[in-house]
Amino acid sequence: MNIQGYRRGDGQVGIRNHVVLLATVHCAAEITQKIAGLLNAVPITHFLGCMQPPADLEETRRILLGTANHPNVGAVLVVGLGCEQLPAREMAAEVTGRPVEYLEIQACGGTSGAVQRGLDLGRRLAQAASQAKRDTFPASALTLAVKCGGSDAGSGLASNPALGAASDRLVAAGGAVIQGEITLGVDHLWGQRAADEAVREQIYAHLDRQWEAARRAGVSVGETNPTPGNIAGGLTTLIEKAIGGMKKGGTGPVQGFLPRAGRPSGPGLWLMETTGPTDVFGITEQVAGGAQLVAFTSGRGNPVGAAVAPVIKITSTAETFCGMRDNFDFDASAILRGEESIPDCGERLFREMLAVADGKLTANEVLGHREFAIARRGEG
Amino acid sequence: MAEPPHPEASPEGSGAPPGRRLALLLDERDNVATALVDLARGTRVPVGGLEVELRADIPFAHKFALRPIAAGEAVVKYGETIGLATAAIQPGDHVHRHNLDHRVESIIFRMREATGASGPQGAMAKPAGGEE
Repeated sequence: MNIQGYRRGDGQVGIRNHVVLLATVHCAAEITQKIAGLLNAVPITHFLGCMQPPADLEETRRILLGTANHPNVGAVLVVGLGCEQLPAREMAAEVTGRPVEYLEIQACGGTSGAVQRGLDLGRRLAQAASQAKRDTFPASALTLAVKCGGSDAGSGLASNPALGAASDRLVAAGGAVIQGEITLGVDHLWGQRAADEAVREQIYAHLDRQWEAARRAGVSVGETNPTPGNIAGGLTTLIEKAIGGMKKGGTGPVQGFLPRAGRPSGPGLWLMETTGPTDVFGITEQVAGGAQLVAFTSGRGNPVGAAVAPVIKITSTAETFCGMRDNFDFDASAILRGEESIPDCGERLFREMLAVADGKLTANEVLGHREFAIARRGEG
Repeated sequence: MAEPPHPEASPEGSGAPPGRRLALLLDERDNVATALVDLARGTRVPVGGLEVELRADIPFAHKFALRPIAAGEAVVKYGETIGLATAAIQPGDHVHRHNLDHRVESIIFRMREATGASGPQGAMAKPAGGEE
């Protein structure tokens, strides 16, 4: 079971060969967008990079560098202002295994000078990246990010279990899976699946912060979740609802609990602390953790993608699939019609993942949905 | 893809399109199944090797019992306990808030402790608003 990919200088295997323009700070965002538009490169812009408290800044830095050093990235131009907390030169020095350049707007004489310099550097980077050759690698080179959002009744019954079956197939082939959205209600099931005591402690510590936040807010989690809409839709208990969400990562042992944008250090299933509930924050963090592709089950339908990774959009509801046809890649509705079993659907989804790894474009790629967002936490 | 009709396809008179499967069994350990269409009381539903006659209308995505479940016994879906029955449940009964206790924090905490990790921290010893 093989895929076609690009070997990077640092040993990683990419399934795309993007040229990325990375803004280090919000002040550089517009110029980054202008240069990227002219070069047909991928702009990475955000509202951060300066005036951040240390822990917050470190997380922003980890997400930005995780994106620049992502296996799907063939070359990087770092675009900075010149006086920000994350200097462009320092950020560029930490990009490894692929061609990288940087510019600072204040040293380029403003917008027109920076755009001209950016085009000059960017053209050379694009040509350097274009010389990377695809080669054959085992499917074990893949890391998959799994995500769900806008859940409906079919999410927990069909699309998440089918995605879980595909996740198990990838793990069995030696690949890795990054699962976020680790929420309350199935603490014990995660605990049972932790690979060792240290991982279990990390998972419980993460969940305890959520229990504590609910307690401080005076909220009984079991009384407010499932929501009235969930209850009308047939969900009775918090455990039942949470299992429907946890299913998407499969059934394997949990190898570790990662911080946002943390990288798995081996194969298997990894959990990640992700920012919710807005979907793009979590996808950005999981992709920055090195996932070359994303599988996103959406009940209600959602057009969002990711900056440097294809997003396979899955739904289990024929109405949603047909209603937003150009945004979906995979229809799992045959499970709810009783025409396909969950394992069979999972196998079909796994084959689709391999096809996407081999270069088949996903809907978000075709339509230019390259969302990227980092959450601001502390005030600086 | 011409496939033979599913062995659990809709029987005649069920109101569902012919050949359509009526219910989903997510794990063979489960004592409930999930309706794949709105099902009327009295429908005989083939699922999990059984045939269950529904004792209530079961809306799409709602659960019904496959076997007798005693009050206090675990309701099992996805192969896991999702809560405890608050009343005796007969095969074919609708299983929802009226006979399945949604206050599950104590189950979660008890099963957490059973995984052998450090005991519950202050945060979880007393979930706010719960009756545990």
